Amino acid sequence: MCPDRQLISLYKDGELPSPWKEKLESHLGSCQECTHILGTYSQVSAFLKHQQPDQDKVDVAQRNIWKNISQSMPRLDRSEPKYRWKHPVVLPLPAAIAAIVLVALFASLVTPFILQQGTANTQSVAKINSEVPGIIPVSDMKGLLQYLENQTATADIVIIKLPETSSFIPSGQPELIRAVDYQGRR
Amino acid sequence: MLFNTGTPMSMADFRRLYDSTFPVLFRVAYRIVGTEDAAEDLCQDAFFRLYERNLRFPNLDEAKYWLIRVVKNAALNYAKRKERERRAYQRAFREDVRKPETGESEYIAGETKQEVQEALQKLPETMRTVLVLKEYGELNYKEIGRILGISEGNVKVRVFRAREQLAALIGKDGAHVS
Repeated sequence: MCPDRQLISLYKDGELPSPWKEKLESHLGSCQECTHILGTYSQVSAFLKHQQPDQDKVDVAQRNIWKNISQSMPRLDRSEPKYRWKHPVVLPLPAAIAAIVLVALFASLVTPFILQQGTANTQSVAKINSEVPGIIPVSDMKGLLQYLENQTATADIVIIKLPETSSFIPSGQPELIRAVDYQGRR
Repeated sequence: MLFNTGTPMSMADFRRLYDSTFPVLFRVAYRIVGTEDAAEDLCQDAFFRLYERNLRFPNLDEAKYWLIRVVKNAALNYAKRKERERRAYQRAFREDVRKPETGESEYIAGETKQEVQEALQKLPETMRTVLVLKEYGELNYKEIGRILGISEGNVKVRVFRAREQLAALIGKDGAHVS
């Protein structure tokens, strides 16, 4: 029994899968009718192939068109699109003027507040500075000692390490003191 | 990977695509429109469109399918327009302005060849396109299905029916072809 003609068409195009392909091949070896059908399909293909343009013409067309394309496309190696926005933003002139006027108006209204705020900050800084005592509020030595005592109670303890050797070079006030002592003895 | 979805096509990729695809495109276009000049124009337009749209494809095959689809559609539109013009001309001047044949076949006698040529043009567009892609595009059923957006099974049926209609003319003197 002959297979469906569509299978022969598939076989002709190399699209018949493996088990069926071998079976059909063995059938074609013994069936003249199916062989003739396959031959007819091949004739159709052969005819259509003969209607093709010559390879030389294809090559010439390929070269010519590539020449045109390469001349018309100078920047094929583009890395980034030139414009990020696909469409340009079009703003009517009156609207643009109105926008500028609004911005200017807004700026004129807001600027004094900003400046005033800056002055207030300066004043407050000055006030703080004035409140910091630059002069110690004492009138006599007793008060000063009292003040220093209070300061030492709150201040950090500072340890000054003196040199361990006693070989001081006498200079300045000690010399004067020694001179006074000497005169006193005399 | 030749083509990446995140990067534009380089000059080297474009050239590789052109070299590998042009012969197929030209043959398909020529088969449909019938003249070399028109086929050249259609192929060139397709590559320009690919460039202008800055399209990106996952691989070379997908770019090739896109180009074949574009050329096939443009060629069919061109052929339809030319056919309308030919009919209008024929009606106006009552002349036979049938397109002269191109190519020679040693297989079939001249009369039968003319009949097959006409039969090919008379095939429904869906069947003719599939057969043209098969015979001139040298594509398999799966690829044709991808290009036309139809199933592989549908391609099988269309190729078979188109082939049958043409084979009927060729084998009309034999007893084997229905």
